[in-house]
Amino acid sequence: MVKAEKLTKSFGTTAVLRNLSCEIRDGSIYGLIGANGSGKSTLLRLIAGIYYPDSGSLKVDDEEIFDNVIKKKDIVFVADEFYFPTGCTVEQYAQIYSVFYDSFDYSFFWDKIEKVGLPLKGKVATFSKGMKRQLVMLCALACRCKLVLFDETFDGLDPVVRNLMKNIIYDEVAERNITVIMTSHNLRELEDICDCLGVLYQGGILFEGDVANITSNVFKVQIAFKEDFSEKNFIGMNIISSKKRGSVAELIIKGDREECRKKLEALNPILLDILPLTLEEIFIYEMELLGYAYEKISV
Amino acid sequence: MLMKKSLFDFGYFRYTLRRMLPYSLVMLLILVLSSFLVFGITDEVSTLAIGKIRYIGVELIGCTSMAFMYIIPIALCIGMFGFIHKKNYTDFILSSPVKRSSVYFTNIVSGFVMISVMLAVNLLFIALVISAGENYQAYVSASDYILSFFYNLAGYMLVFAVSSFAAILTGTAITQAYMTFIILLLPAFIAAYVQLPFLIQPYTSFMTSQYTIPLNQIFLIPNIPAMPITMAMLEASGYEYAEFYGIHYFFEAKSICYTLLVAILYVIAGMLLFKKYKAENAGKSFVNKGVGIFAYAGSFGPVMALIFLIFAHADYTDMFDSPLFYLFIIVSFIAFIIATLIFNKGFAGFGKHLVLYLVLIISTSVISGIINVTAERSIKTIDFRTDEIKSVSVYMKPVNTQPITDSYISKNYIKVKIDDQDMLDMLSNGYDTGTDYYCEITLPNGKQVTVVSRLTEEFVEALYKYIDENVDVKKTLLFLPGADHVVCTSLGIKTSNGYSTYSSSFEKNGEAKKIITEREMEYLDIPISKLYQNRNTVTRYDYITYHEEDMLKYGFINTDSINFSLAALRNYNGQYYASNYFIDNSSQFFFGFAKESHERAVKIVKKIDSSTIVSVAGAFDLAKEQYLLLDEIIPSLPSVMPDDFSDAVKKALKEPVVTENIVAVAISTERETALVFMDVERDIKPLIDIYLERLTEMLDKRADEYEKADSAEISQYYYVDGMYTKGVGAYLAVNAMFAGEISESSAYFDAKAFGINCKDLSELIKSEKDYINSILTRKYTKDTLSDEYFFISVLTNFNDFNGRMYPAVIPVSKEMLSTIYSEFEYLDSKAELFDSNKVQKAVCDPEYYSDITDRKDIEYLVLLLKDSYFRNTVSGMFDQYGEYYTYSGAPDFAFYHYGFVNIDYVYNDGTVESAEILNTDHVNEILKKKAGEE
Repeated sequence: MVKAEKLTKSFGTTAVLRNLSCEIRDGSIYGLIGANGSGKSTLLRLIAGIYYPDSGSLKVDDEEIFDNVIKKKDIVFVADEFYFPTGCTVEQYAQIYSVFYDSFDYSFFWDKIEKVGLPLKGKVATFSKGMKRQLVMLCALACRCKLVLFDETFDGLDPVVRNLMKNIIYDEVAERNITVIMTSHNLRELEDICDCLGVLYQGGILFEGDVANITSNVFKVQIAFKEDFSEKNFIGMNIISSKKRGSVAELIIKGDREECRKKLEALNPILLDILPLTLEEIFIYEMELLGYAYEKISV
Repeated sequence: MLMKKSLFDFGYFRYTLRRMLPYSLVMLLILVLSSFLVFGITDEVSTLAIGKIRYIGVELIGCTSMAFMYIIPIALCIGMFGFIHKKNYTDFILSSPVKRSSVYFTNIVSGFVMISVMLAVNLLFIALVISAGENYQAYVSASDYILSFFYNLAGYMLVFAVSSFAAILTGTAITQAYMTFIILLLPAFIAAYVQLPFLIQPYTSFMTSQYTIPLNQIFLIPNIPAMPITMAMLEASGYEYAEFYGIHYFFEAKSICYTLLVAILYVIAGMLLFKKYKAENAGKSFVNKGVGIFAYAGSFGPVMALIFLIFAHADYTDMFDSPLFYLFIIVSFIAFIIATLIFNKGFAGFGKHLVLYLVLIISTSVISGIINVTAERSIKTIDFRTDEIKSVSVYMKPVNTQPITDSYISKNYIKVKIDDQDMLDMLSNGYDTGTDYYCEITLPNGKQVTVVSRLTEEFVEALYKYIDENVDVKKTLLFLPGADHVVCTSLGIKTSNGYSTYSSSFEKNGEAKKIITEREMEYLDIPISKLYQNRNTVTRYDYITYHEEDMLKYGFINTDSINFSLAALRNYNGQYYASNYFIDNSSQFFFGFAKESHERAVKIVKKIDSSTIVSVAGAFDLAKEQYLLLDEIIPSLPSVMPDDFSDAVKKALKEPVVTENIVAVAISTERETALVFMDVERDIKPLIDIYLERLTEMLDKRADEYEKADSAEISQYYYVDGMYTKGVGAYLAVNAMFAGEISESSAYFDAKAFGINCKDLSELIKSEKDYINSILTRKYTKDTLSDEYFFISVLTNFNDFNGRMYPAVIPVSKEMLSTIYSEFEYLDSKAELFDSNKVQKAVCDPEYYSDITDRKDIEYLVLLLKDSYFRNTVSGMFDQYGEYYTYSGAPDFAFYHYGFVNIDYVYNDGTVESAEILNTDHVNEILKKKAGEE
């Protein structure tokens, strides 16, 4: 489990992370979203042991990670920009990883390389950005680490490859119960893969939760009555947002869907539609609830 | 195990080696290529030829590696720590499961391995090229290879360690290299700069050591990498202070160890720093502002300081008047702009940096000014204000010393304190053109200032008088340094009239002390001015200096061997002459006494064993591989067998000589020379007998060879140097004969080459064998000095050893030569000049002096004319003090005491011979008499 407590990291006079606290459970795919400069990459680098926190603590399985070689053997980090030695090939690049990670799984690596269709003999320098990212991600996964960190995970991947990579990650998590932490500034990239999402804003986790819970417990209701009505009619329900257009009200409700349905039907509406919300819509409403404009957080 | 792992990661090591392999191969290629250019193609090596053997010393072997000392390690380190320069690379390395200390240390180890391999391969390559050299026979000892390797390794490792340290303070390749240079050189610069104003004195030969602050040690400046820059700076300033900066320790083990130690300190410091290295600084020019400012100050400070220095040195009265000054300002400003662009990757913060730049200019100029002015005031240009002087102590040279080294002088100069107000008042009379004296001035407040001043003649006279009147003071000046520790004493004493006397003794029976005391008593009655003037007593410590000079000139390059040289001093007709039996040019007389000398001799002689090859007269000055052929070579050269010689030397060391009939034997090995004093009868004569026996054998053999020879075997038998030579010339030529070289004397004489028939030569040798032998072993007397000898150089195939051609040099008399070559007239033509009866008058500057017509005076002046001819043609044979090769018989001849005067000799037939003769005391008297007549 990754646990951050009151984590602070500044670059010069700029505080990037401020008293950030969070917990990421084992076996989950944790998505970190936030605008540029919100501290996503910094948090990942702290978890990877590249940076040292100014204050607070960051532990993986209750152990400090900075310069902890034993623990770092279980962590692999894929940065948003990749390092490739001049003139190296796919195989040579894998060899570099294998130097650092004894557990590097060549059979897994070659299998997946073949699956995604990367040229085996080609020089990496000739690869497209997406191909390079595939290579690095597969190398990282082949390290067989328990904790895999992806920064700007799917940046540059086309939809087909993106799905392919997502499936590979899924399989890894399912088969080996690894923990994956991935970042993106685009919620749509992460919503269908992450178990858990956290929103970083101004150096802190603004909001986090399980994707399954979030999507099932927040929903949109369109409702109309013969008579005039107000929010008072919906006492006992957790309404995040409400709008009324003519005789039809549009409510965003957080809570158990069936329970809410029963309560609403008991009010004898002439119109009752319960509609699911996209993760993005839920985030927008949640942010608004917290007093933040979603546009500032995500792009 | 865990500790080991935390320092060194084998996986990362493999990765680094693999990654850096292409870079290091390129560097190695450059290194080897440059070595090929130096050793394989150019004739760079041959310019260092010494005799037949090309001396390739440790300096030259390592020169190509040395040339890249500031390039390869830095380039390697930039590649090695390249992950710091790119954020993505930093992420990759620092996120990997390798401890930071391990990353750092493994990089250092990788660098060490690569550098070691590169240097070793380069040395191997050089060795191959040298051994394959067709144009010269080179000799390089194994120890020189090893020394060169470790010397360069230490230098490379230090530069590498500093560069890795700099990597942590910076974030780009350029700034890393830049910072490396600053860390390496700035302290050296500061140390040198602070000291420089004190050094820039034409006469600080011994004061420098007093003013030298051991800044090099304080700033951890190892000699090896910093030295060239320091030296270049000093050279650029117009002064050569190589010795001062210990350049002669450059290749010593302690220098190497010190450099490695500093390298280790940098590695440790770097490793500690890297553990806390903030990865977010990757790609930045400098990790923080402070480091950036340090870099600025570290570069522009020296630029400005150097500018100041150059102008201070150039002695501009007002440097602001010089257009060059403004040129330098412009150049530095352009450099500043470029640096700003590099550091800031643009013009951001240009204004701030401009302020910094201006502050640097002003502060550097002010500091430089203060240093220079302080130095000037404290040493150079102090004006005496006698009312402010309580006393002055003048540093006086001990009479009984012949100062050779600065350290010797600084240790042994004696302060004569003057507090007499009348004398002190004389100081205020300003400067004159007298001698510079070091004076320690005590001010009323007790503060002492040391100055170099030209004391007035009046003051010096008073000072001498004061010394003469104060026996205790005078005794201190007659003191013989080290007298209390004398083991073996041999005093060479030159009396006031220029003649040498000689005596020796040993401390064990107190004779050394006795002699010294006796001399003191004698000298107490002689005015100190006279003692100084004539340097009556010469006690020499010159073997070190001489030897070093000798090293350069002749090169004791056979580090695996011991060269023995033997010199004999003989007294004939009350005058001492050097008759040299087995002399090679490296051996001179070493008068002297010193326990150190004795101990050194013991140490060297202890090394003599059955495996030691003993060479007399430098005959075995051979390349190492030629020792393999010694069985062939030794019989062909006249020599004393090693065992005989070493036994004699050992005996002399065990049983010190107490008679007056002694010789000094210079024993040289590797880089040191020692003296052994031997008894002629007991130790030397048996050796001479052996030598003569072998010489006779050799001559017989040669004569037979020439007899049988045809033109094919004697390739250049016609090559003959006709040399007009006397004692020393003979010595040189004989030496050349044994050394297998053309005599050096041929360079100093009017040589005339002519051809002879080799059969004639053979017959001559056979018929005149005894005479030739007598020439070679001649006991020169005053009379025989006027003899004339010729040396015939014969280059024959018989003397070809291992590709090295030995010309045989056969000495003959003029009469003998005339039997085989009748047309030689050189000497006769010159002899005319030296007949005083043919000179009607001598003229010296007719404006001031009348003609010299006194026959006795003319006779004397003709003697000096002869001396002048001799000196002008054989000047190279005078040693640095000129006292051994007196030949002319001029009674007060002492080469170094006098200036010169031009004399026109008008012969009876009206012809005039002009010559520059020594202005001896007697010449002076003659001229003064003539001036008085006017």
